[in-house]
This record gives sequence, C-alpha cells and structure tokens, in this order.
Amino acid sequence: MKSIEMTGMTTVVFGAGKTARQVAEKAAALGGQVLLVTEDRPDSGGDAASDPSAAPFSLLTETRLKSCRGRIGDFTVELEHSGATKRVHAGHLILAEPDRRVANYPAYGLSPSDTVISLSELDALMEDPAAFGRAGGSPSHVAFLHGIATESTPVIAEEVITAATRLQTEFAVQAYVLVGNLKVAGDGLEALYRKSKEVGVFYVKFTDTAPDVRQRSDGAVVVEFVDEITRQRFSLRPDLTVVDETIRPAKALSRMARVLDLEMDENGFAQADNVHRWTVGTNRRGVLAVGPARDALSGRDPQSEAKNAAAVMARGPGIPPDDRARIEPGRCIRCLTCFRLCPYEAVRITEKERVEIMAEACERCGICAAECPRTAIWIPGLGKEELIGEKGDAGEAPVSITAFCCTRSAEPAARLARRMGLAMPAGLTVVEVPCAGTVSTEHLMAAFSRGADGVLVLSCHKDNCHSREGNRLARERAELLSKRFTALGVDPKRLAFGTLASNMGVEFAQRVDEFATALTE
Amino acid sequence: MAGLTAALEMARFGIGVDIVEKSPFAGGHGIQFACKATDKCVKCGACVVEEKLRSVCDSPDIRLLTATEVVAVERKDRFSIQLRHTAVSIDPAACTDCGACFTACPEGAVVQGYSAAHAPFYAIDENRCSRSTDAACSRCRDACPEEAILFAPEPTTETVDADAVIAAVGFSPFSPTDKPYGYGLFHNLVTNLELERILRRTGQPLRPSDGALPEKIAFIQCVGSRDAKRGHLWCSKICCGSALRLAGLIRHRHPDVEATVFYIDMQTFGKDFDRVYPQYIDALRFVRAIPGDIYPADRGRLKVVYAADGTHESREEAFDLVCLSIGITPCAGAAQTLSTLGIDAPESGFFQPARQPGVFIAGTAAGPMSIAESVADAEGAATEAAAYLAE
Repeated sequence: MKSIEMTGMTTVVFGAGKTARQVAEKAAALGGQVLLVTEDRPDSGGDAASDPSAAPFSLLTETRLKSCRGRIGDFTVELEHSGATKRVHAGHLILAEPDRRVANYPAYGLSPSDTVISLSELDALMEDPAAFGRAGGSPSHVAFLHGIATESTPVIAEEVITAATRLQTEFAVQAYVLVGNLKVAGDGLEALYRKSKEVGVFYVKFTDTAPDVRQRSDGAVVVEFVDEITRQRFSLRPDLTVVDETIRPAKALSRMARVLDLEMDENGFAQADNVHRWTVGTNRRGVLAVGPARDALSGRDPQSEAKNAAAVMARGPGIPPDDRARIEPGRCIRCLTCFRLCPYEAVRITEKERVEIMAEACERCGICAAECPRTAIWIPGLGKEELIGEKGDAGEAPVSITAFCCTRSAEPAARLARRMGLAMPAGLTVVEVPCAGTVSTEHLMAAFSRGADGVLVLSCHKDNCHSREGNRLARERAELLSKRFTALGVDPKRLAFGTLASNMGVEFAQRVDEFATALTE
Repeated sequence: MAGLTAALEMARFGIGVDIVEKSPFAGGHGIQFACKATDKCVKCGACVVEEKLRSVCDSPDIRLLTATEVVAVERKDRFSIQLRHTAVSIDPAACTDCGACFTACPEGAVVQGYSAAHAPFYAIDENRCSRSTDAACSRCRDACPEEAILFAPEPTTETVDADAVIAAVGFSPFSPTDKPYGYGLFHNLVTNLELERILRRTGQPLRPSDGALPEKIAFIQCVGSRDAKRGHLWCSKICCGSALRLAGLIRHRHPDVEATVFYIDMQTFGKDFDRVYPQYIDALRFVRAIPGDIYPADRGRLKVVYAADGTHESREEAFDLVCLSIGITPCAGAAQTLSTLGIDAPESGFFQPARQPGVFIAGTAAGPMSIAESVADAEGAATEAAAYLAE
C-alpha cells in the first residue's frame, strides 16, 4: 500500500523500543526515508537482535528534539547531537518513546532490599534461576502487593498473575497475591487468573481494609491482615516481597511534547484525554502519539499501534479545501493572539515576520477569527453575514430564537430531536457552526440585531471539544456579553450557553423549550 | 462501531465499501448508548459512534445496506456474496418521520431508530410483523400519509462481488433469563443496554413499570461474565466503566437518587481512572458481593439478596430499579456464514483471525472491547485489508 505523497518525505520516529521500531518499519514500507531518533546511547538495551545496517530506517542515538516548526507534510525539525544541530524536513513526526516502570514501594511503606523487590526485578530474576536462588536464600514464600494502595491496570495484573503462576509451577514457591481490585479486563486474563488459582496461587482481596505491612530493620517484611472473607487474622512472613509498578511516560516525553506544542493528559502522556484524538492522534495533524507515548496501556501491542500509525500516515497531508482560515495581511498587527490560541498549531510566523495560517493544518474551528482583535481573519462561510443572513421574521411564533449549534454536538442533536418528533419552539433557527469557538461577540450581536429575541450557544461538553477550548471560549464570550447586557439594561436571560452531545435529542428539545419559556415570561 | 470505522478507513484509501447490516439501524450497540457526561465529558465514546455513522452516510464511496442479511458467500477469484433484503421497507426519500406507522401497528413491529443519521427513523421488524402469517395486514402502509411503506411480494436478493471481506459482526449481549434474577418477569429489572436506551429516549432513568424516577438503583456487575458455570471465562471489560458512568450521570441529574454497585473487582477504564474512581467511591455505594436471588417487593420494587460485607450474613434490600451489567458474548447466528469465510470460533466462541487471505475480522466479534478499542482494532483491520488489496 503506497501513497504517492509519502515518497520523498521523511518520517521521524522518536523512541527506540519495540513500538518505535515497528512504526519505523511500517513507515519505511510506505515509502520515503525514516529516521529513528532516541536520546539513549547506542548500546542501551532496546532491540538487541536488530542489525542497524539491515534496518530500513536510520537510527540516530544520543539525539534529542530541539525545535519544530511547520505542518504535516512540511515540518522543519531541529535535532541536537553532541552539540551539533541537524535540520530535518519531515512529513510526519511519531512519538513512540517507551514507557517506564516506577515501583510502588512508597505506596506500601516499603524500601527496596534483598527481600523486597519490584515486579520487573522479579521477572528478571526468574530468567536466571541461579540468581533467583540467591535472592532471599531460595525463597519458599513470595508475597505480591498489588493494586492495594493504588488502583492497578490489566497490564500489571497480567504480569503479577503470570509471575505468580511461574513461581508455583517452575520454582516450587508458594505465591500469595494481596490485591485490591484485580484487573482482569484484558484478553485471556480471567482464564489466566483461574489457572493460577488451580496451580496454588493464593489470592487475598482487600476492599475497605488494607494489610498492615511492616519492614524490619534487616529489610524483612511482616504482613498482617484480617481476611475479609473468613474474618480470620493472618500473619505472613514472606521470604520475598514483590511490589507492583505504575506505568509512567518516558521522562523525555513532557519536554518533547512542549517542544511540539502537544496537548498532554494528566499522567504526562503525549495525547490528550479527548475522544477526538482516538486512536493515535494529537492536536497536531501529522504528529502522532503511538503506543507507550500515548497511554499507560498502549505499550503492550506494538504491532497494533504500528498499524494504527500506518493507517494515518498513508493518508498523507492531502490537499486542503479552500475554505480554511486566512489572515488579511493589511489588517494584521502581529499581536500573535491567533498564534497562541490555535489548538492545532496551524499559525506560523514567516521569515519576513508575517503571520500566516497553514491551510494543511487548519481545522476551520473559527477560534482565531473570533478572537482576532482586528477582525483580520476571514474564514469562507463563517462570517456573520453568511451564517445569520437577512433579518428574520418570527412570523406567528411568540419568540424568535437563534441557536448557534456546533456541528459535532448540538446540530445533530437538533436533527435527532426533530426525527424523534419532539416539540420545539416554532421560531427556532439553528445556525450550524464547525465549532462553538466560531461564535464571536459579533456573531451574537448580529443575531440580535437581525431580530432574535433570544440567542443560544450550544457546544460540546467540557473535555469533548475537538478544538480543546472552543467551548470554553464560546461560553466566556457569551457570559461577557450577558454582563454587558445587564449594564445596558438588556435582559441578560436573552443570551444563554449550554453543552450537549450529538445523541442528546431529548435534552436539546428540553433546552430550547426552557429557553423559550423563560423568554416569554 | 468496528464496521463503520473499517469502512471509513477503506474509503480513505480510495477503496469502495458495501456495509451489510442485518438491523434496520446501523451503528451496532454503540449507537444506542446515551451520552453520560455530567458537567464534563466522561469519554464513553457514544458520540464517536454518531460521528462515524454520519461520516459513513456522507461518504460517496460507502454503500450502507441496512435490513440486509448475508445468505451465502462463495469464493471464486472474487468473493460472491448473496444478500437478502427485507420484504417490508420504508422509502427514505418519502418518509417524513411522522411516526404514524409506529402508532398504527398493534404488534409493536414498527421500531424506532436512535440517531439523527437513522433515516428513515422508523423501520419494520420482520420478526414481529404479522405479514409473514397474514399477508393481508397493511395497517402501517394504510396509516402512512406519504405512501412511504413498500411491500415487496418476497424478500429481494442481490449478489455483490468483493475483493476483500471484513467481518465486524459485533457481539450478542448475554441474556440473563436463566440467572435467578427474574429477568423478563420483573418490569423494573433491566440490563445496562436497556437502561442506555431508556436514557436515550427519555433523558431519565425511568422505571418501566410506572415511568417514575427510582429513589434507589442497584447495578449488578458481571452478569454472564467471569462465569465458570457457563464457561464464560472472560471479563467483558466495559461493564464496570459503563455502570459507574451510568450511575454518575443519574446522580448528576438527580442527586437524591442512591446508586449501589454490586461487584467482584472494579475494572479500570480511561486515562483518568485514578482521579475519577475516588469520586465514584464518594458518590456511590459499593458492595463487594454478587447477589444471589431477587424477589418481588411492593410497588414494583425488587428485593435483592446478598452476603453483606464484613458480617457475611444474608441481607435483603429493596431497590426501585435493578440494572444488570450483562456480559459481551459471541455473536449468535454468525458462525455458519463466517466459517465459510475461514473464520472459526473455537473455545470461547469469539471469532479468530481468518484462515484464508482477504478475510479480516474487526471489533467485538473477536472478543470484548471498548468503543475506543473497537476503533483501534478496526483501523488495524482496514490497514491490513488495504495492504492485501494493494498486492
């Protein structure tokens, strides 16, 4: 499967783990050069079996991302290596930095010792039976502390269950798993869990109580608890205690995300917690967050992630439609409001210090045009005259309502309400906008000056806006205008803001009905 | 969801797609879900299903054939697929969604859609329509002011040729009739899918018996999942997230409603689980026990019997509404067609990747998946299918 646009374009993949390599291989198969960039040293782990000269990509080690400008199909990336800067023109940038494990010692009040180790250390030990024998002097009882102080995940649960099973079957060790919520929401995990019980792994579940875990000065551990099922008191002195781990993003990731102006989630992964970014997208076209770079649970299936990345890369930049935002150079005063606000990083500053919008990156959300203090930005089809049209006549309707409705949420909700045959006020006009962020104060005033008794702005829910803050900006503008109305002696209830989703037909009808009722009072 | 996603990906590669959908309403189970946002989005993905369906309907490269079943598949150099359309249909060009047919049918055979993209918004369910036994019945057609209802003498057939096949047949919800809960007997005992539909249609968690708002709701998890007796040795993955979000939505709209969740192990969902789970612990009541029996109580309430935490005594508690979080089970009725395509379903019954080239599976046909996972899986399947077609 080849895309003509890919040939001659470079793809830069950041990271050196399995996911990064799989993505790099898929990108190479699509055509064009592929650079695999990592801050790691050449000999530090990774896929030891690979022969760099045979790989279809170029590996750059000890190299860090310094800066990035441009857009999909035309990024200019600066990479730094040993003090020298290398400039690369790339079509796509893929973040695939491997995640890291943080052992949860503090959560259990433990310190690492010969007899208190992490899950990863146990896995490594079991690969070397001789080493395992040395740890704690050939342990016969091993206790896992898993998901008690903190909620764990199916990735970790699978490792705990597998390790415990191996201890029972290969090392003749009695394994105890002390667990809060056992995370079996993964393929085959329930079956694995049952099998582990069959081979003798002993599970103790904790709900409202927690085991009392104490570590002696010699590092040995004593665990005491009241079992919630039998209500018997138990005391466990495991020869080896294994604490579970939390999956965290690579340390370099937050810095890279800042360089690339990417949204991050609250855990530091380079993909916002926003359904519109599914599966490997970011707020920036052409920049993908893949596998361990996008989420704690996505690092375990490199092949799947690589396929998802390939699907997006193969589409290429495409030709932008001619309805994207554009800046009128004569009016622009280079305040850089649009540059700072654009959620898609679609605004660039040229060498001649002009401000331009890159059509390939523009998603036509309308935020820049609405916020520009000089109304220097024009978006075909989204001007107030185009959207609101001629002075409306409510006719026999008691009130005339203009509802600005986001194309992703309120507009389909309005159509659903009609399909469902729900009663709606007669004088309702739905004005569809690509994002509520389009709705500027000028749009609102235009609606009123054309005869609307009431104006509603209906956007997507908080954290559901494709343009991240379009809904918040729309709400703030509406609230500001309402305040001005109060000062002017105009009833502020004539302007209202609300959030909806595309499947909320009932709620749309209720919302406009309540608004109409309030207006007639 | 997987089917819609795969079709959109294929269309992006410039490949034409026919989507064959048995139901009159495309979108699988996901299209029936309610938005569960409180003061902010909870990332359930229900709106993403809507978006994909709309994109599919708008795509010139995708032909969406609803109320259409696969009768037979033959593979020569291409796949030759025989399709069957229902005999009774509503013409989307003429229908105005007035609902007169819906009111006119005494059998409840006229069913309603869910999405703005379901055009027409009504359809006739062959299995409930009395025309199969009484060809003279024409109440719906007579009621229709637009002459939009069409009766064909027989179901029509059509043969389509394809170069690749993606099986995205979805899942069958576990039927809890042989659980000791009284499903099908008690009005106010519903499944989580039914509660989604109630919320979608009314905006409120109304009790089926009297349309009243419940004061106490119970959610029972793992119904048909993690069940050794039935050989369902899997966790259906999405039900914990579904129940918590449903409970959260209901309490956001009605803070006086008490919601209790009966569970085995609470599963993680979403990127922000660490932050939202404590909020759910504060807002909801959790009982770490699965109820044994349910008995009818007064005023349509249900008495739930369970082993109380801590004391392990048997306790009875009455609820106004009980919601069973039913499991994801393999798609019933698809095994035969899929086996002719080289797709088998050993052991669990979920479908395995095809034994022959050119055939791919996507989504919950392969096992329990969230909406997000179905999207990812389908994108992958489409990428593979496109690569196969390029060869």
